Amino acid sequence: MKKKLALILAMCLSLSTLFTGCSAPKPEKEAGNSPAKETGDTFDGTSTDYKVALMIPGNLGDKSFFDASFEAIGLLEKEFGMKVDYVEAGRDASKYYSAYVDLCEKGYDLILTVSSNGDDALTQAAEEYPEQKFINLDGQMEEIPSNVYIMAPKNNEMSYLAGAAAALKAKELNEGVIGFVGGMDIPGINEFLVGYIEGALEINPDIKVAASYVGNFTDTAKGKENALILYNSGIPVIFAAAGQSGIGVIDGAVEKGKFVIGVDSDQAESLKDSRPDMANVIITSAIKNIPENAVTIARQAMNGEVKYGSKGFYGIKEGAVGIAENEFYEKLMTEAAREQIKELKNKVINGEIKLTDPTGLTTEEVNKIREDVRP
Amino acid sequence: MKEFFNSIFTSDFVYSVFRVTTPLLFASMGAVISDVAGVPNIALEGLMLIAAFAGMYFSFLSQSALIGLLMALAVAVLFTGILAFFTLYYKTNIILGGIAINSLASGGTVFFLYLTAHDKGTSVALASKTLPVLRIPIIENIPVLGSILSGHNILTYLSIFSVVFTYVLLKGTALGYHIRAVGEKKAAAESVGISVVKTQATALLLSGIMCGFGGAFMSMGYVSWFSRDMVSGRGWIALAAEAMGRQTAIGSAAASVLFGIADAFSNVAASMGLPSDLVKTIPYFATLIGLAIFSIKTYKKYKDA
Repeated sequence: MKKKLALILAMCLSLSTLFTGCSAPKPEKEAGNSPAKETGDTFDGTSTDYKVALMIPGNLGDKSFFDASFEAIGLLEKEFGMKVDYVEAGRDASKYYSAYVDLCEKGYDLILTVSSNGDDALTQAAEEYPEQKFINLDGQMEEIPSNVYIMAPKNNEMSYLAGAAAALKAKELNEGVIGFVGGMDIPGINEFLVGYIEGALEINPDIKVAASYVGNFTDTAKGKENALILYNSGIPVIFAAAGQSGIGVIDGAVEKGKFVIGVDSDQAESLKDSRPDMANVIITSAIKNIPENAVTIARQAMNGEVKYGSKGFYGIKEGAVGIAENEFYEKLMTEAAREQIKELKNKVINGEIKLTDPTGLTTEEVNKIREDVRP
Repeated sequence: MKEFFNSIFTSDFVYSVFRVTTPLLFASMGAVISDVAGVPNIALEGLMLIAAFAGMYFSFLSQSALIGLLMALAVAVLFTGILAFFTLYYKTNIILGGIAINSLASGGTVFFLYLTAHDKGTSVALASKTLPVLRIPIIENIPVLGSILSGHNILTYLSIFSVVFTYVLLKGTALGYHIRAVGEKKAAAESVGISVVKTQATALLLSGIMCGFGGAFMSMGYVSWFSRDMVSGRGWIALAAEAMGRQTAIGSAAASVLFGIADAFSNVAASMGLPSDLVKTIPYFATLIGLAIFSIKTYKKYKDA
């Protein structure tokens, strides 16, 4: 028994040395530019010495914001020649904290993350490493630690344009109902819904919006089921804010010869080579320009212009969100409709149209908005 | 509420029940065969996932849905073979082996997905093939019935056949008798010259074939791509259906259909704006009720006897 215990202990010991070995890469290089962290907000060295890490609290391949954040660090490397690194922490939330600690120990100048999945771990790590700077490229956190900055894209603004596009497409087809398929019935997704409804009502005050939720972001087959039910009831176009499940909605549109609006990235563009039939039913996509936002914020971070401890909202005006205006948009939407959407976009930019801020809404208020337009 | 019932009593709804039930039927038949043989195969979920990936990938490579389907079956059988080898030959615990296959499938398919499609989410970048939809000549033209019974994926029809197959196999063939004997009492079966290992291996491989069909349906019928964890618990629900159906082909099939109806029901309910968290509990709630009815019946039987 004792022997066994000793063996296990020895194994733990050797394993731990192995892991510490892993967590400290290129130590000789790091020694050269370690003072950067102590200088506070501004960064003295050149951008090629600036070290950025991305912590992904999820998996790549979502064709949505995790992929976009990964694209973002690629862009940082290209634009500024920054040293970039990333950790794909997966869906197990218990791993997020240790991933953060690992990154904090490595001495990055800036740690980026995306989505609200890792908020608890981020708060904990930020408190334990007060010198470390963090930026969330797409977050919603309420109590923000003094060394964390949250970029909050105005999801409702791009969804507003998506809603207008859907309503115009329905009008073109003489239909009075449009659809929405969300991943889950959560505030983050209902932001899209609130904007979508508002945009649709702008075009047609009598329009009805049927909202359905898949229940998760991975079951593409269930996403398709949800879409088929809506399409079968005569709905001509659905806005799919359901991550990976949304691809099922696109497939449903192909099967029923109806239309769909993509989300987060330009889905028609990414599907047009492999699945032209799917790209052909995507009238547009509500997109966040996470990579471009990352470039802007990284530049500010190097110059010490980021107001850590706060949250910044980024909308159409800042060029942070919008809808995809690609060949399919031009083909599937009439010119008059596109003009009308452009007008709405300008009105949002110059403040003529004030949109409901969905982040301040209670669940009851969201329910009311949703029920008022239910067919 | 009226609208809710309107959308349930439509041919579209009944049609969707068939589609939703197909993978459950295949997997629960796989569970029945292996469980009756005394080797409960809990790797249904993982095997279906592996088969779904194989079907998608090989149909993309060969540009033939048939080859995709055959490879889905072959790969599912291969992995069941590995499971059988370790559990029957090297006496690994079958439950542990099942867990191993499930974990391997979840991570492994994503790994290969990344290798082949350079994507960790879906395989939409690969133009894979789907299995054909079958239109039944005369039935197709019958008003309501036609739109319910005709026009399904070929595997949906095959899933119904798989129930008949399993029933006949267990009730009317020599192999079926062997499987049941081995599952009932190994020593007794051995004493009359039935090879336990061979019989259990055959049963496991048959359940692997069922998972192969189920997986192929997911990526080549239900939708036309593979996506991460796309089986989404259907293998586990099939396992529950098999338990509810008391290891009989007909009972498990009925339980699978019940789960299918509950799932289709929850989709409709979600689109009607009923609280979606509540809606998601419908399949599990249905299980509870089913089990309660079942146990009341057995209790009564026990009391009468």
